[in-house]
Amino acid sequence: MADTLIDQRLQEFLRETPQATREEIAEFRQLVEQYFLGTMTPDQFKARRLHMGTYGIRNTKDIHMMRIKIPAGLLNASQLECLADLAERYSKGIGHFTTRQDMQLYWIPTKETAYCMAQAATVGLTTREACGNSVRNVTACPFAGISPTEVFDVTPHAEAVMRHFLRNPASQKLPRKFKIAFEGCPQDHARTPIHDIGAVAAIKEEGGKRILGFRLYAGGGLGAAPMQAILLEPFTPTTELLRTCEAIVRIHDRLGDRKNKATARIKFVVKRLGADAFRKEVFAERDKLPQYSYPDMQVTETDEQPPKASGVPQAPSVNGIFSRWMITNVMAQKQPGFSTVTIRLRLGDITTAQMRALSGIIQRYCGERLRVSIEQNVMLRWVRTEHLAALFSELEPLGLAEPEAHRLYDVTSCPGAETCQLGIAASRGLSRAIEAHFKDVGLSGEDIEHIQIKVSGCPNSCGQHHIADIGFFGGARKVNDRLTPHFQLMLGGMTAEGVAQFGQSVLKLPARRIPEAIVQILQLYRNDRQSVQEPFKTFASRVGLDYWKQALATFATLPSYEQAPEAYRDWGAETEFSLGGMGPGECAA
Amino acid sequence: MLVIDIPENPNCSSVEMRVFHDLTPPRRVCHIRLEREPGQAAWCDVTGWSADGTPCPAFLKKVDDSGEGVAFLVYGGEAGLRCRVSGEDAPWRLDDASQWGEPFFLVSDLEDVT
Repeated sequence: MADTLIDQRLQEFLRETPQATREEIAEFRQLVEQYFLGTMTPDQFKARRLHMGTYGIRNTKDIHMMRIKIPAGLLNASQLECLADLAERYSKGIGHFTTRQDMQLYWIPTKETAYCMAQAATVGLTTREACGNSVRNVTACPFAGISPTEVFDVTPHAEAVMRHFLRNPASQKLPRKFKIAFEGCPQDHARTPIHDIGAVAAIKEEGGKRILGFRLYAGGGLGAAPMQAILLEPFTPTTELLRTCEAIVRIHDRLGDRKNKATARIKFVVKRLGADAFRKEVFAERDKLPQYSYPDMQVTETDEQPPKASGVPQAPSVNGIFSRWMITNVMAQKQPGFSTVTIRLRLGDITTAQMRALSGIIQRYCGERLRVSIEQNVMLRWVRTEHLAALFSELEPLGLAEPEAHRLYDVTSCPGAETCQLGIAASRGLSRAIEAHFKDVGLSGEDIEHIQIKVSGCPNSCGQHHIADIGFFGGARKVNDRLTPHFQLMLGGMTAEGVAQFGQSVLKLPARRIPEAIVQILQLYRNDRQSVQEPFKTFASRVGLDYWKQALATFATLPSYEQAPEAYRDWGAETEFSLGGMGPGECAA
Repeated sequence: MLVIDIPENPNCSSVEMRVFHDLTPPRRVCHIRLEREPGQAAWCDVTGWSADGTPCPAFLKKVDDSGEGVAFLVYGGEAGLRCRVSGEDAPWRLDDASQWGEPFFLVSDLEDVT
C-alpha cells in the first residue's frame, strides 16, 4: 500500500518536472525494480545509482545517502522547503551541507530513491552527476554579486557551465570525477587551485571595450596526492568559456589513465604530460569544438534585485552576543545599505525546523534566496542594514545566530566515521570536542581568531585538511597494543589564486588528545612568534617540523588502558575502536 | 576490509591508510596492462615488494569504488608493488632503472590483469 502511494506521488511529481528529468527518473525507477527483481546485478545497479547521486551508508543495505547538487550554492525558499520535507521524511530531520555546496540527506530506502529525486526535481534540484565519474556540482564564491572587491559576478557563468555539462555526453563516463569552481574576488573563497578547473574573473580592455573573461587554472586536486592547478590560460573570454572547459574535460576523457583508477584524475595527466604539452592538447582540442552559444553576459553586476522587505518586525533590544555577531558574521555589501549575514552551521548540519524557519526569513529579508558556502555555512544576502537587529532576534531562538563565522571556532568537517563508509575516525566528533574544549579554556583573541581548522575522517580530503592552518585526517595506530583512533596533524596549509600550499605533515595524535594539543599549538604560536604581525602559517613553516614534533610529542602518548579506557575510544563512541564496521567504499569526496 | 598502509621505502611512494572494502578473496596476479604514456597501454610484469627489498606475491581483490561501483585492487607487500615491461627478463632489483615501484593499482577491467 505504502509503495503504491509513493508511486502515485512520484508520478505526480514527475508531471511537474521537465521532460529530460522526467525520463531519467522514470528510468531510474525501472533500474530499482530490476535490482529488486534480480535482473540487474548489485554491481551494475551500484554504478548506475552512483551516477544519480545515490551512495551507500556505513553498515546498511539498501539504505542510501543522496547528494543533491546546489549549483553555485544558490537556493531559493521553495527549494529549501523541499529539502526540509525530504530531511524530515528520511534524514532524521537533518540535512548536511558539504564542502562542495551540496546537501546530503541520509537513510533513504532504495525503493524510495526515485521518489526523492522526483520531489527534488519539482523545485529544479537534481542528484544527477553528484557522484560517479562525471562533472560534479559547479561551485562558486558565496560572495558573488555582492562582494565589494569582486571583479564581476561569476554566478551566471558558473550556472552556464553547470547547465552545459549536466547530461552532456562528453562528461558521462570520465576516467574519474571532475570538479569546477568559480571565483570573482581577489581572495580565494572558492579554493580554485585545488580544482580540476578553477575559473577566476578577469577583465581585459581592448579597443576601449571591456571584455569579461577568466584566468583559467586546471589540474588541481587534494586526496592522497594533492597538486596545485597550473595556469592554463591568462585570459579566456566568456565567449570561449564553455569550449575551453569542454576541451579540458575531453582531454581528461581521452588522456586520463583508464587502466589505473588510482592515477586517473586530470592532475595526473598534467603531471605526466607537463604543463606546456597539456596546454597544447587542450587548445588543439578546443579548436575542434564548435562555437557554443553563450548568453551575452558583459555586465559586471548581479541581476539580483534588492528585496522588498516585508513583514519585518520592529528591531527589538538585542543581547550581548549581537555586537560580536555583527563583527564576525556580518559583511557590508557593495550595494550601499545592504549586508550579508553568515549563519554558522555546526559541521554543515541544519534541522528541518531551521530550514523551514529560514525559508520564511529569506522571504521576508532576502528576496527569497540564500547561498551555501564551501565552509558549510549559509549566507543571507540583501539584508537591509537597518533590519540586522530584527534578523538577529529571529535567528537566535532558532540556534542560527552563533557568532564566530569564518573564525577559529568555525571548524570544517566531513561526515567521517559517523556515516561515511570510508571514514576511519570520527571527524565530526573531534570537531565538536575541539570547539567544546576551546570554550572550556576560554580560548579567544584577535591574534588567533582567523586560524582555520579542517578535519577529514580519512586521507581522502573531503574536509579539505590539506589547505587548513591546522588540518587533521583520520587514521588508526596501535598504542599499548590496542588499535586507537588517531589523526594526522598537518600545519600551515592555505590557498590563494594560483597557489595551493599544502600543510606539512607533522605527527599522528590520538583522537582524544587533539583538543588539548591544539591549545598547545596556539600557545606556542603566541609565545614563540617573532611579533604579533607574524601570521600563523609563516610561524608554522619557520619553526619547522622538528620544533613541532618535539613540542607535541607528549600529546602522542596515552595512559595505560586500565587507567583510562575512554582514551582509546573515538569521540562520541561508547564502544572500543575498531575498523571492522567500515563498509563498502563509496567515498563522499 | 583491506587497508593499504605503506611507510617510506626505497621502492614506491608512501601511502597513509587507504581503506578498501574487499568483495572477493585474493588471487595471485603476475601481469597487468598499464598506460605508461597517456592513451598507450602495454602489458607489464608485476610483483609484490617486501620491506626487506625482496619480491613477494602480488594479489588482486575486487573492491568497492566510488566512481564505478566496483574496481579491482592489485596490491603487494609492505613496500608495495614492483613492475617492469613484459619481455624484459632481468631479475627484480631496486637499482634497475627499467623497473619501477607503485604502491598499488586500482583497475576497472579484469581483462587488464592476469
